[in-house]
Amino acid sequence: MNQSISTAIQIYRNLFSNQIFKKTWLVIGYIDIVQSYRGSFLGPLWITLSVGIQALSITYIYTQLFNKGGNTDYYGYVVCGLISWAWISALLTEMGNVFIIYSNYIKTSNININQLVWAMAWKHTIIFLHNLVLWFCYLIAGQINITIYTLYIFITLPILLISSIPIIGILGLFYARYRDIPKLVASLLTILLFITPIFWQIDQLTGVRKYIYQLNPFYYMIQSIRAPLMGNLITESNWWFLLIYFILSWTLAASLFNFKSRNLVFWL
Amino acid sequence: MPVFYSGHNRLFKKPNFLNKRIGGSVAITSSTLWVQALKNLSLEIRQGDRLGLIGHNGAGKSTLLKVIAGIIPCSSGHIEINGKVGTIFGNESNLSNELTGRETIDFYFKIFNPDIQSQSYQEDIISFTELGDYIDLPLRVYSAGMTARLFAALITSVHNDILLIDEGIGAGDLAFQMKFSQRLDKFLTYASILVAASHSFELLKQYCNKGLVLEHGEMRFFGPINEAIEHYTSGLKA
Repeated sequence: MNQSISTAIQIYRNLFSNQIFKKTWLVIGYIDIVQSYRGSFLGPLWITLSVGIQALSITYIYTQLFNKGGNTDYYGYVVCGLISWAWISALLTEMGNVFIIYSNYIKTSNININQLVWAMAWKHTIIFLHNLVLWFCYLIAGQINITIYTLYIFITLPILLISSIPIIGILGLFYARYRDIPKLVASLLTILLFITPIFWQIDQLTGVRKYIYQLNPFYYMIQSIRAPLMGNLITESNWWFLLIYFILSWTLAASLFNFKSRNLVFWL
Repeated sequence: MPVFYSGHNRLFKKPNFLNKRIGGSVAITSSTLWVQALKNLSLEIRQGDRLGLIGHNGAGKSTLLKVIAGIIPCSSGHIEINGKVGTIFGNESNLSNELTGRETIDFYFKIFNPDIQSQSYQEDIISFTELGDYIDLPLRVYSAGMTARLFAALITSVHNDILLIDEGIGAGDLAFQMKFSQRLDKFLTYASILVAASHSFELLKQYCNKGLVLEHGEMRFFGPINEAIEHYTSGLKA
């Protein structure tokens, strides 16, 4: 019993050790964004603008194509869906490529790789907050209503962000070693975009498909962010998903991360 | 160390490696290619040692420096390092190419020495580098010598116990070499150890008091720097 506790502590020590309090990851994530927008006039405003342009154009086109005009809920629905989808697709593509993107840090210094994992999570948290400005604009424009249930965002968002850290670590190791995996996932992402209810709503499903969406784990992730942002209640199955996700990621993924990350510098 | 996929082929086709003049020793197991960059190396570097690494290309000088820095793990054997390591490898500018000189100094302090406020050191570093107004331009416009000046000043401004230099200093001009030599002397009164790899014998004689000659990863000579240089050059002529 004692040994399993100390092993458990050892596992957490890799991804959540007191190294984190050195705040190196905060600087790395921030500087990454600063550097990528050098030479650009609008700078990081582009983060918000790109999602905004996508949301507005898709909302307009789909209302014209599929006659969803009367339902003003749809505008808010699409933008909240896209804000959360931006984060989730980044989780599978850029956050997974964390060690490839930050390979210069690994090859130049003996930085602890969990700093890089946390730095990538922080960078995308900043990007998510930039996208949230778009939600504020929609709020001011009156397309979205907030209710008391909106406060749930302060619970679900930290759970999602913190659970994603071991996932970033594991994905990062696999993506750096087997370079086929990031390409495969990037191509599957377009399919995922249409399978997950972002541009269509659940009540449009008929027949046996009515229950299929529940098999998609990304549906729960998106719903965890979208439901509070739109003022809707989060269902019980959604809370179960968040709990299981948090537990699985910090146990299984964190323990896998310890294993075989010594050779990382040779894969880069 | 294991070699994972390189070259224009996506998956690596293992060549024969006969008759090699440069590079480390190579062993091919059934699935992976191993380059034995350092072989049978047993060394103790003590306080006050200024070690110069000499050898042909691919002899293992940079690899040894990277192992000491903690960048590359040992595949076999073990290493014990007592003290804080600072490195001037010449590739530090990759991290911060878009940042200006000032921002780079700030950035490096925040990452590698987060407990120290960079403001107090900034003036000292900027005046030492003599970069003038270039300090406010992004690093990508600097020449190799200018980045060498910047990072040399940066790493020697903070207390490091062990200083590793890999060919980065050679890019500095003569005036810089003289200034840097003085700064290094002052730095090394606080620091214990200097390990430098270079192809320039003048540089090695100026900075080092001991020499290590490496050939295909193996240690050929370890002793005073002048004798080490003598050993290497006589080996070449033979």
